[in-house]
Amino acid sequence: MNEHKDFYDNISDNEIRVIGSHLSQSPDGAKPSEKNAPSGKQRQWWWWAILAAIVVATACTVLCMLLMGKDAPDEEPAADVSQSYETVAIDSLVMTHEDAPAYCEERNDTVNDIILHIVTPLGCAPKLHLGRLPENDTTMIMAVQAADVRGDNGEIAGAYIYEGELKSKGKSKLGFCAIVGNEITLGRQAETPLFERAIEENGYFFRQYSLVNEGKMIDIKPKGKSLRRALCCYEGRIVIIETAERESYHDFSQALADLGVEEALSLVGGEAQFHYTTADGTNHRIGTDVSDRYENVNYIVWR
Amino acid sequence: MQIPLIISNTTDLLRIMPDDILCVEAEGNYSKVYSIDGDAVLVSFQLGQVENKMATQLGSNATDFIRVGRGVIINRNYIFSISLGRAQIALKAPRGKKHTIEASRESLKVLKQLVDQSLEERSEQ
Repeated sequence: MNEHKDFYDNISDNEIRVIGSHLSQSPDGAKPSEKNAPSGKQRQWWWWAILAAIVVATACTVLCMLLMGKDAPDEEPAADVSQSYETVAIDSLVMTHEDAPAYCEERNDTVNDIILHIVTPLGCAPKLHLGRLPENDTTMIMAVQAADVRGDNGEIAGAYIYEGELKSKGKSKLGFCAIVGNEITLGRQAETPLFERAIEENGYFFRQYSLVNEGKMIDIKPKGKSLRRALCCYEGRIVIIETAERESYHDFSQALADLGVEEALSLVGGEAQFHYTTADGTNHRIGTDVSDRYENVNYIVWR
Repeated sequence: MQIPLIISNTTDLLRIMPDDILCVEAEGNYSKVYSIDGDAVLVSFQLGQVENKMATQLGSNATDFIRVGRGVIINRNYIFSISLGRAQIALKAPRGKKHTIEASRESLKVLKQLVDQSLEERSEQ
């Protein structure tokens, strides 16, 4: 079976292969040539070569990081990659629509000397929103920036589904948020059927760093301190929790886990936009609008 | 007689006749199966795994399908045009919409050779 798997994965972008005949042809060959699955010795040689390359690359990376004291790249945290094969259960939560007027409840809590600002939307349901936030939209109770936008090409980092349409691909970040039907789900899994369901049922899906999974903190690699913000499942509700001070991912994750958060997904922090309306009608506006610079800036909006 | 291709995981099953498949495109760790009617179904298998299922399930009908590079499997019966200049291949089923796919020029060059070759073989017969 593995032999077959190796063969079917073994094709370059410049080759074609007639399926079922084991006929492959590359541009340098004028005629189709018989290209069966590589022999045992060939395959063994390739595996050793790949293994050696991986060992050398890993050693170089570790050496560079030790010598230069540089952080691991933000896009692909090593801890996440190493845990990508773990099977993790997904928590499902149903957002209830209440008859009472929608508003946000806010309070502060302190865990491990970290002040956490907890904002709970009540009586409203979340959806993703792509692009600049609408102005003077009185139905919008809360809005917070969701998936990261890449600085190099302006694309959304990681898989992103908007109203059933796949806008961006990738799963370097294992955490995900899926909004399908009347359910919002936070979890940590490389492959989840909710991805397909979001497409089939015109739902929403995005990926971010998972900070807490099944009540346990996830220690992700990116270092440095910033104002942190997370979408959390806490006490049976979906809430936004942010730090009052600049904190590391490690300390923020630990504080969330110690607070009793069941699932937490990192959101864009720092100067990212966060709007919410409290019961007295006050519209709180935090952060800077960057939609002029990044057309793919995106939000979770509660209405 | 044609045998349907069945792609099944723990939650979903796709059953489709080979002649109804226009192409299968890689979507990261997933694949999207396009039917000649214009429908598209995302399946939770990598393209190599779909290729494996085609080879093992479809018997002689599997040779209707050609893997072009890492990104796509096409049904050769629906090749409408190959453009090396634009690095594109267009597929079209009777009464269906044209579906355009980008591929490397090198792979399309080889694909064109294969189609030309089949034309020569047909002429000789």
